Amino acid sequence: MVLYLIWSLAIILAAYVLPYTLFTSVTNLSLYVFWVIIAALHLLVSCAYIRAGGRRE
Amino acid sequence: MSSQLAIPIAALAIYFTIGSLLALASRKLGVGTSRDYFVAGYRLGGFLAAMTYAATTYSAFMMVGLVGLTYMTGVGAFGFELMYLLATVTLLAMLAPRVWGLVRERRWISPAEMLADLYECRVLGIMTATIYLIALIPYTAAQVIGIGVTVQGLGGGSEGAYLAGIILAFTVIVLWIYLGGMWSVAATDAFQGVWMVAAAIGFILWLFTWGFGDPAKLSSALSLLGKEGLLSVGRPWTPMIFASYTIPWLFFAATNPQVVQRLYMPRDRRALIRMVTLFAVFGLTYTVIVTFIGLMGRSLTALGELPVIKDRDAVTPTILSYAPVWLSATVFVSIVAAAVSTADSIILTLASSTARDLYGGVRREVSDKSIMLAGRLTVFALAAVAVGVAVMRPAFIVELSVLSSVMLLPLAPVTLAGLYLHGRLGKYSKSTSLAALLTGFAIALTHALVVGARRALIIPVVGMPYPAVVLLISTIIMLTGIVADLKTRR
Repeated sequence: MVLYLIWSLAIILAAYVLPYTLFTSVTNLSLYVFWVIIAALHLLVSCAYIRAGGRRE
Repeated sequence: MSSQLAIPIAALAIYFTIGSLLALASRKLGVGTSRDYFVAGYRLGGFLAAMTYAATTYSAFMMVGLVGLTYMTGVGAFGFELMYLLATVTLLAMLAPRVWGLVRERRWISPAEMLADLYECRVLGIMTATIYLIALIPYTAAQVIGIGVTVQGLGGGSEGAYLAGIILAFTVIVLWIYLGGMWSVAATDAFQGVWMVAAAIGFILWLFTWGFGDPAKLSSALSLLGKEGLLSVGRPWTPMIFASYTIPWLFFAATNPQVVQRLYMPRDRRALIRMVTLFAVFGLTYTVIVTFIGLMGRSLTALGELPVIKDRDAVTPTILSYAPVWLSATVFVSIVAAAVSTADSIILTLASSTARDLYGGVRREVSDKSIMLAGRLTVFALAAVAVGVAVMRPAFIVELSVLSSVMLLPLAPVTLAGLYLHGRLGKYSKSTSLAALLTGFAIALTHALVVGARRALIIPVVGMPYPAVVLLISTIIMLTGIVADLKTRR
């Protein structure tokens, strides 16, 4: 639970901060692709987390 | 009758007929008790649970508002919607198993009842149910207005078509809830969710082939958008505005009763896991498609193939005016479906809360039959109020609809503390939960009244985004009670 929470906060923080630091003046779809990739990654991790929790209980 | 009018009317008729047949069929699954009527007897399968969660969450805002917002402001709009999805999936992964497990022991029906039970405070349930009503009636009315405007667009812009749309909305909402309660809402939500995604996929495929037959054309159009600054965050998405718009939605899964209640319903743990997984896939797919439609529309404007569209809500209708009539009819019906699925879910949840927590909270001995009757009457009354607001369109109420999640934000610390610390909460937490809710709600409403609902999100309070102030103050108040209780116990 704690590890998942830290992971989730890191992902949400990255989704907030990186567009204003790394992707400030991009002129292609890299920011859009970045957001899609971290969202897809987070959904995979979240689904794995809830499935693992489901098996434990 | 011309095909321009006949095909959309036929599409609406197909939608209404299939939905009504599903609602009628779902009645056989049982609506004898208030548990059946409001939470489907906790017996929903994974697919139905996922689709009703998704269709309830994603309103007409997606295909109209978000397409327009992306067209106007670029990639930042995608980030805004994605922050909601990231936070919701996180909350679902952590909260859903806990809420679902507690519901099996405590047999809650409404989310206000859940808070009243966790804090052992009947007044908290009554106060929460009242805040739900104030915050969500404008939002529900906005969905009815959306249906009226969509049908008005199909009917050539006449006021009669707008009223016909509102009558259609009232009929569909009341009929589909009446026939089978949550069973028919879930079944029709599943049907509407499939229609929404299918229409969105059809829309983007058509737009791509019609507008960008040659992939090189898309590439050059995107470079034009890049030069306009629409592929990065900048104006209007300053960090302050971005935070202000996203914070209310980060806690949506814990604060909005219509989605909290859906965590009660999966029939077993497997169905719950399936619900979260399918919802996550639905959410990401739909968000990507809808925002890409907005970006492609803007690209076509940059290439001079679409006119410059100045009204955000006119972007989808303008693009669709170039599409084959069957496709535009399918997409327009998907907008109606998105609005109906959100509105009927909210109304049924508000009815459960009004019947259980307001009516049942004030009168101590109430039979299940009276709760059912109160619920049914409340459904009718709430739908009538939403229609009344939609007919009169009072500016402030309509504008207030965008602030529903800010007004519900004080429920976030109260709900999270209740779920994670129940059993360790005492009299101080009970008092501060009431204070946190009242203070946060008062700040949210006062700021909207002072600066105007439309400008509330863009005007900071003490240098901070306004939703952050609401959240921070209610969290601090809640924490003082928790700390006092923990100290007293020690």
